[in-house]
Amino acid sequence: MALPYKHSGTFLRSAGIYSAIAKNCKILNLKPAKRIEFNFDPFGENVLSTRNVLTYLTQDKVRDTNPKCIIKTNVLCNRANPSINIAFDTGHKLIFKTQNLSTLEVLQLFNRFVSSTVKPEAEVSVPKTKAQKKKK
Amino acid sequence: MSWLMCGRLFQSNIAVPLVQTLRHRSRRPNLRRPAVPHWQRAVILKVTQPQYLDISEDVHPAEICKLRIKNEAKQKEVNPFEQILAREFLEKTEAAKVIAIFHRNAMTEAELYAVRLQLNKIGLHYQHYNNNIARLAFTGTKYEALLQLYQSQTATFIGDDVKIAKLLKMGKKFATLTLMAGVLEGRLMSKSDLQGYAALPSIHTLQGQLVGILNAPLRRLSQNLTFHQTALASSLNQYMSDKTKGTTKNEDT
Repeated sequence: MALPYKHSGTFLRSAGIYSAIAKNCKILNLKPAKRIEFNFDPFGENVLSTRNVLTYLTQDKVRDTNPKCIIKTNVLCNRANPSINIAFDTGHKLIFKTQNLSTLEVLQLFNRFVSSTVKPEAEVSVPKTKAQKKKK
Repeated sequence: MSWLMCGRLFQSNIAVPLVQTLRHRSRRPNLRRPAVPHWQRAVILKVTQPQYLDISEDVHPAEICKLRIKNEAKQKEVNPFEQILAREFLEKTEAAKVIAIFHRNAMTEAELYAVRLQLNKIGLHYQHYNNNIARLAFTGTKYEALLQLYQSQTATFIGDDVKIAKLLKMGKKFATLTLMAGVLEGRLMSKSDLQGYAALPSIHTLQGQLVGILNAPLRRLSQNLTFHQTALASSLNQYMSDKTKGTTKNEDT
């Protein structure tokens, strides 16, 4: 006997915060940055976001966007607040005081101030040869 | 791969499909004048009515949150294999003289192997245990202070005969590992403490310095007591030597 009910619905694709972090990691671009310094005291509080962002920024894919960018880590021993200092090619500086920022927030702000300033490369049209045109 | 399996990959309570049941081609129920059910149906409906907790004003909703209670129960669950690993980690840590804890950047297995090779040359061996195992191992022990370091990506190396100066020198060159802290003969040391330790002279030099410091008051006392005698003796010697020089000069002339 056919049941009088029909099911409909949807499936959630998003994994919440992890999807958001993954999305931000994909668009990370270090091209405008000349030097990035991570300063944190490992025994300090609220250091997790700094350490996580350090792990994300040292990925091969992200480093390949600008191999000349120097990423330095300074381990402090004075319980100072953690920070990320970015020096741009243009001479500007950007300081993230990450004590009260979550990992996702730091990545979002990084993408807003650094990755988004990268101009997309213009597509260069390669002229086709006679042989290539003939093949078509 | 199904969406439900994808959900399990992300290790969180999600990917339960949102499903609605719809009435399709059946009699539309009259909500204003509901039909009186058959006795048996009525009994089943009454028995299957959901029993809700009496929410009293004293209890905060956070205390009866089902997700929180479920997560707490999950944390208390004991995994025997994890316990074995935790015990192993603790035993190795207690037996080792030097423990170096690094922050681990994103790296491939090949890069990790290269770093392990370099640290192996100075006597440090890699311990492949994650943060949960470290938490299980060190909670309630004297190494509880180390748990602050076991957040994010961490790598632990232990060894017995390790030269800290070499470790620090190597650590500067590593792009994938950052030395955070260490434990030296049961004593927790931050990076600056390790640098200070590496700058110390050898133990024999320090022992000699200690002996000198301990001897100093006695030496000073003996010097003070014999000062006048030694001064007199040296003056007399000087006088004798001057006199003999004077007589030899006279003889020469």
